[in-house]
Amino acid sequence: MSLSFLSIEELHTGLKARTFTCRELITDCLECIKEKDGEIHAFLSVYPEQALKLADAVDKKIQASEKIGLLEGIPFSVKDVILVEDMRATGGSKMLEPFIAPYDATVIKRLKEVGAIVIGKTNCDAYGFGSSTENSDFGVTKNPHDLSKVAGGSSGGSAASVAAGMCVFSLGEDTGGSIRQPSAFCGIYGLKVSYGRVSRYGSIAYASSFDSIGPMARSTRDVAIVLSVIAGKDSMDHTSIPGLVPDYIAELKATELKSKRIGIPKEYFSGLDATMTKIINNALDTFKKEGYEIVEISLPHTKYAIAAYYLLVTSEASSNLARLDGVRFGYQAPDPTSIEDLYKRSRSHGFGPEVKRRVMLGSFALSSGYIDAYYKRAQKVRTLIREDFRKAFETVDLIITPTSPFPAFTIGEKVNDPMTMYLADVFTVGFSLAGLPTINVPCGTMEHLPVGMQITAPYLDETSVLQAASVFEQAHHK
Amino acid sequence: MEELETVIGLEIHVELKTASKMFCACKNDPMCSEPNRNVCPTCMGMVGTLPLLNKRAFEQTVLLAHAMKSTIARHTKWDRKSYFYPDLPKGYQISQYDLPIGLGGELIFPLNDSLRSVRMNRVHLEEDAAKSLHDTDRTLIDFNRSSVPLMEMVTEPDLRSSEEAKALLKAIRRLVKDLGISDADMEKGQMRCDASVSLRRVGEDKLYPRVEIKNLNSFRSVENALEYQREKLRVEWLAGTYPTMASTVLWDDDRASTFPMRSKETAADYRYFPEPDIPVVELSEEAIGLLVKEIPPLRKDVFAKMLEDGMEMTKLVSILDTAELFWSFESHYRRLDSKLKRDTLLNFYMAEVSLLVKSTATIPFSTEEILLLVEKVEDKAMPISTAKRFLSSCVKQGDVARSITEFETLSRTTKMNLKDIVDNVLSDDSPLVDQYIAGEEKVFQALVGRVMRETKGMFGGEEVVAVIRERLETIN
Amino acid sequence: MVERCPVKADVAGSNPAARAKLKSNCMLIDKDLVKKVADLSKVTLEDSEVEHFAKEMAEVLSYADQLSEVDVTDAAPTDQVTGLLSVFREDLAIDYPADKRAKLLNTVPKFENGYVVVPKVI
Repeated sequence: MSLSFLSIEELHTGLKARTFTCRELITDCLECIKEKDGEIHAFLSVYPEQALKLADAVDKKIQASEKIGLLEGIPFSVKDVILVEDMRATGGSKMLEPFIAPYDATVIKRLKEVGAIVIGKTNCDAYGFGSSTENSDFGVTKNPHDLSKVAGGSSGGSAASVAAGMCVFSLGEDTGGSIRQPSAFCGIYGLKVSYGRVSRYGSIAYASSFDSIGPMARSTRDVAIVLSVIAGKDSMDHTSIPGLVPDYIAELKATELKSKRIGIPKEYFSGLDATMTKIINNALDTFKKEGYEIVEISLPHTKYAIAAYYLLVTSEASSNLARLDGVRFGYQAPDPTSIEDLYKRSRSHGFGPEVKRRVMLGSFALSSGYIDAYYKRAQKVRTLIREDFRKAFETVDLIITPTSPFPAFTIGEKVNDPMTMYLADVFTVGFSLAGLPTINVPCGTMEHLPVGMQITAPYLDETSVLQAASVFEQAHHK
Repeated sequence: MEELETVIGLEIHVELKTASKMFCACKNDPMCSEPNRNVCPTCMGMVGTLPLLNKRAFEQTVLLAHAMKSTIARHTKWDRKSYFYPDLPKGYQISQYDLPIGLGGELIFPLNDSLRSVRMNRVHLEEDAAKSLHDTDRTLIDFNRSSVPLMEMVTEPDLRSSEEAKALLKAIRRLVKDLGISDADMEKGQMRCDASVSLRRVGEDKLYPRVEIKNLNSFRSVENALEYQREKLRVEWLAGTYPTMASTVLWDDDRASTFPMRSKETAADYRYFPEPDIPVVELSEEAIGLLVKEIPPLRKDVFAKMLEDGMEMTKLVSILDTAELFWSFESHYRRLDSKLKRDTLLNFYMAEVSLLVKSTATIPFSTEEILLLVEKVEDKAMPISTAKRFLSSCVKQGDVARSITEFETLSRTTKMNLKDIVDNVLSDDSPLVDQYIAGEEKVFQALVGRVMRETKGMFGGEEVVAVIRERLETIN
Repeated sequence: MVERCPVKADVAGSNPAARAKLKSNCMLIDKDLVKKVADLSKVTLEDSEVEHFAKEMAEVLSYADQLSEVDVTDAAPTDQVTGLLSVFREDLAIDYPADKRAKLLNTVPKFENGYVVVPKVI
């Protein structure tokens, strides 16, 4: 089996013990990419020489009996909206097709500092606008479990690259479900952190008050290890949370569970598919056996979450994409006759239909005469949704829901009806509106496709989320 | 035709003198000669960047708001103002919309011989755009100025003449310089002004649609443009066709007239919404209190006090605009205890010292020296003309002291008798005397000159004139 | 293929009130408005696209109109979820390293003699 399917700790032990070299590890990844990615299309760009060079440096250290860190030599992929210096960063969009990132995102800087190795940049819906990666300007990413299905989105490439063993972990970005949903579709663990827990500096902004960069991996421990490196205040991001970051890895080993009461919001289960319901209930049984208490709760404003979410994110996105105008970076239309012409032709070429749709919706929702009815009202509903969660957490410590109403759907099935695509986010957006830490945990299969559940805790309590995920993971593998 | 009055409001932008830019750590140096030298991903609007609020720029704006007696917001926040323009890298400017740092306020300033008062509408903090240079067939953009901190002040339409507008601008320049927050040099773009003007019948309360004038790059432009537009409006009013809609025009210095701006540029929906990347700023009373302790003495306050002391407004105004001149005056003023001394000092400053500062940019005398001069004049131990002469000719500290010493030695040792000297001059210059008696009045001045030279300035002009006339009478 | 979604989506079809709302929104989102918004957003749409976008936008906005049901009287708008206040950067000038600046300026499509070049703006 490819070395890339081992966990971070297994790899670290193996490297130290010289059971295998870092070069062999990286080579395995590259082989896997070569073998499978022609079909899956998880990657938009791969950097084999760079990666092997870094691997050799790690091997040299090991040979000289120098100490190496836990993540040193570990290969990871990066969603193409996150900037890695000197590597392409298309954001899944033709507008940035010629663009080479001139600086490292903070999260990349932190991972490079501990010696992790970037293998390549992964495919995604352009700017994160989508739930299937079908809105990528460079083709869809297929689900490794069934190539006729989507890998999910918008971090589809990241999820597929981890699930297929092309790398050990990935950095994705979640605004309304973009880490959790593809993780569910591909059967891996994906954590949307609390908003502000991880720096956004160097990630192409989609919706500024929602965007959360987070780890995607094949185990809770791996997620915790990566989180402990990337989390924490960044002076380049004034919305990043100050204060000490908990020792997530140590907390996973804690014998006394921090939180024991799980709330199940009835709104998320009424009308849910019978098989899906059964899978989630089985998962809840596991928790019961491990000593958790299951309680029914209500999140009364759930039905308004999608509307509020889409009004807010399109508004913020329309503003964030204004800087993509062809003047200072990215694609510029040739021979512009005026500045107006430069803007319009560059953006019309660079932006696909979904991007145009969201930018226009957002501009509309913010425009004079409509802003009160749309944007401002959505902000108030957001407050009410946050309040729902706050109240719920007075009686429970965690909340569990399905991640998606259905497993991976067929490629092409939903892409022509935007509204249907938006509704697929129904379970994930609520937690995004509230900024809560939420993880996808694989918990079963349906029609041979992975099914995932979401576990959420109060704001900034990643520890409880990871503990619960870990408990389930270990119980499930007994 | 009823009498019309002019209604003017100003929107003023001031570049703040911080070390770094508004939202990134690049050097704040908009005049840097190398284009695109002080830039980084953030001020060039690169993807992935986030604004980092400059503490000093914020504090400076609070100081100004306080100095203008504005109500300082307990909670203030920033907003995105969206429009597309190549000098605006993010496609939006980070500005302040509904919760600015300061609301209301007032500025009192002198114009001619009276004090005027203008109410402020608001003061807020935002970022500047990049600089555009227009070539024949293309535009070149330099991002050195992009995101430089810019403070915006809006007045209520309380100004009633172009002169008043100019006087207000000067007052604002004095204030920001005293606060140390900007040099406000209009020609360097450190202070910019858009002026709005409309007319109405005297006694009316309502406001008619205004004409907003942009592209005003000096105090003179502001005054001339307002004069021009006011005259244009007056003609329209007389013809009964005054504006029914607000409009915007550009001032052209060379052609000394305004031209309408294309309506497309003026009708913009900025789609303001709260800037999600910048947390709200909360300001407590104590925090404001600590900040305003920093405020140095302000010319406007010292000026007001001097008026209370009975000093003459127009005279004070003539030395008000040159900071070092005024503060030098103030430093000596406060040690004087009599009105006469103060007036004498002001007299010196208006003329001789002002010229000194203009030519050498220094104050070449010490406090003791000038206080001594003032005292001597009050005690009538020295004519004022002599004192002024000593000031004009001094080059470095000690010169005035030396002049005074020489003068005193001379007056002690020579014990000049003015009457005798006049008599001597009149007998030496008898041809001149004959000419005078014959009727040539202007010869008198030459006689005065002779006597002044002979007496080495020991006697004042008035005194000399009086004695000469007296002696001439006796000759007659 | 599983399609059930527990969240009631009054987009079109069954509910007559929703259908009426969708119709009124379609009237609101007419071709002229779409063209205006496209211009505001600096994108060009083909004539065929305009109608298509108008329909899609109307549908999304109809869905969004649900929010008018919610009693928001006591709700303050959420601008941010962190609760952070007063975050500042000290006023220190830091020179962006020359080599990184070169990389940054290298991403400019038209850069000549140290300036970013665009067609003449009046």
